[in-house]
Amino acid sequence: MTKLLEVRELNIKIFGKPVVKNVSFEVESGEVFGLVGESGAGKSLTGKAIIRLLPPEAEAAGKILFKGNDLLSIHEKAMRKIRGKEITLIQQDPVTSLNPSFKIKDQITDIMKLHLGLTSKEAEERAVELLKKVGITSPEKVLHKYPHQISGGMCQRVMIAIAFACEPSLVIADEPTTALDVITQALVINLMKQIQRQYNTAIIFITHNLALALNICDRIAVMNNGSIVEVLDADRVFEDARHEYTLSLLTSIPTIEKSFIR
Amino acid sequence: MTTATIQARLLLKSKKAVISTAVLVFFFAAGLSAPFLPLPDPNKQNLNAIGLPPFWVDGGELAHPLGTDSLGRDVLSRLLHGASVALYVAVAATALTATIGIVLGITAGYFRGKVDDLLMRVVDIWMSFPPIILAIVLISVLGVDLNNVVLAVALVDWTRFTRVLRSEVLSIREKDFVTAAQTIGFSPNYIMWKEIFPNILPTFIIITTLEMGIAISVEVLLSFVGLGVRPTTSSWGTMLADGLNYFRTNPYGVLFPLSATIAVILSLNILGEVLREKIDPRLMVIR
Repeated sequence: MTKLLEVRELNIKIFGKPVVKNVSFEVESGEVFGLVGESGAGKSLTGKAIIRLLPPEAEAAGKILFKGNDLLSIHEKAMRKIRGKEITLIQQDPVTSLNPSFKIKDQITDIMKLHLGLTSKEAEERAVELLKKVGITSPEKVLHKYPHQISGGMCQRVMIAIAFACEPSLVIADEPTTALDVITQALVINLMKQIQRQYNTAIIFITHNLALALNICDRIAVMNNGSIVEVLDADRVFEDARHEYTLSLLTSIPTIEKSFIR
Repeated sequence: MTTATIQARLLLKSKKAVISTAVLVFFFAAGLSAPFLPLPDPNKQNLNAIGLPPFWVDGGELAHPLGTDSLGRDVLSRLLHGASVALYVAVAATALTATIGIVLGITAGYFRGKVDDLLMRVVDIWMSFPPIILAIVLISVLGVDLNNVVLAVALVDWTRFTRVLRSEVLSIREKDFVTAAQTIGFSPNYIMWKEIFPNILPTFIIITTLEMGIAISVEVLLSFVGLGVRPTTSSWGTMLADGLNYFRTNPYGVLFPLSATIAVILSLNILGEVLREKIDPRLMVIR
């Protein structure tokens, strides 16, 4: 495996107050990398810094090397070519992530027209294919609907289709399943994993749900209070976890026995 | 069923929409066709038929269906020619105002920061002048002419558009789908016009129709005080001014231009409200 993304000593300050401190990690191509931590740990900000869409009051310092280029210092125009084509972001709430004024068709074909230079017809054909891939059984129907006419799970599948439309090498999934119910969550996660394997895409999976992260990720970085406290192999978390905070997260995963006692 | 047909159906179901559209279509048609209709010249004076009432009142003549004014000019002809003046001002001034307002409003709302601060302070200063006084000052400087009325309306009212649209954009640009569009790699220009603009369209339509009403009332008002159109052009404002002088002897001189003004402005406001309710895809429900 080759190194795809390298984050070196990333520091983010909001209004001069440090919120992400000296975060360093590497993501290899085709790897699913988990960023786990409680709310406010700086996971989402780290994700947004990679695609360089931090809020205007935030300042980022450090290095984010993507295929050898420092994403924090390249020109905005060059960055726009990377966004959507090389790196995409899946946001937490799928329903509000889609523009309410446009049909699904327009939103899914726009990205392909922009980055792949497809014509409307070609893009539409590809959109149908993509929607089939994310498990939508009647893509032609869904294409002609507005976001408010389809369910949240459906919206998230559309978002995933958009995220993978240009076969990017890195997808940042910022709590993609938080707004969904548990059954849809499982479906969406399996879909992502499936498509990720197919395209050999790397995913940075941001979540507060350690159990979920253990399920999908190859490696996990545990974040607390703006720093990474530990990076672990997902299948050896129980053996290797040393840091107090990781252990407390592990013991907070609910099990059947524990809920009986309560 | 496509969205457009649903919207058309909803509009046809609404009595308010149908009636106000009918009134506007009537005046638009009248304004556009006035020069081609077999009407007497609106400026032709007939000193033998001064201050005639409409034909259904004692003393009225069928030759002048709505009577004549203090110089014996035909009221019907002047009313219809006046409609073309009013509608020209409404369309031209609104187009100009809307163009300025939407460009500045979206720019300020999207980029925020210094651009926004600068623009909004200019708007603040501009808005601190009373609008009618500002319009009168502008006309005094520019001179009395119909196109100057259009310019005056735009120069006074661009602030309203800018303000309202900016605040709409501010709330829309924080939505997740704008972030999503940024993560896809669209340029700011594309996001402003293709992602944000359609979402402020309902508001835009409302203030556009309101603005047309305001433009007409400003034109009527300026003409009323003699600062709108040249004396040779017939406008509802000049008709009102003339009619008011002889109000006691011939109230119809005020009645017709006033009713026309009210009918058009009211229809514009009602239509704007109905459009907002019916064309927003998020509120689209067939009952």
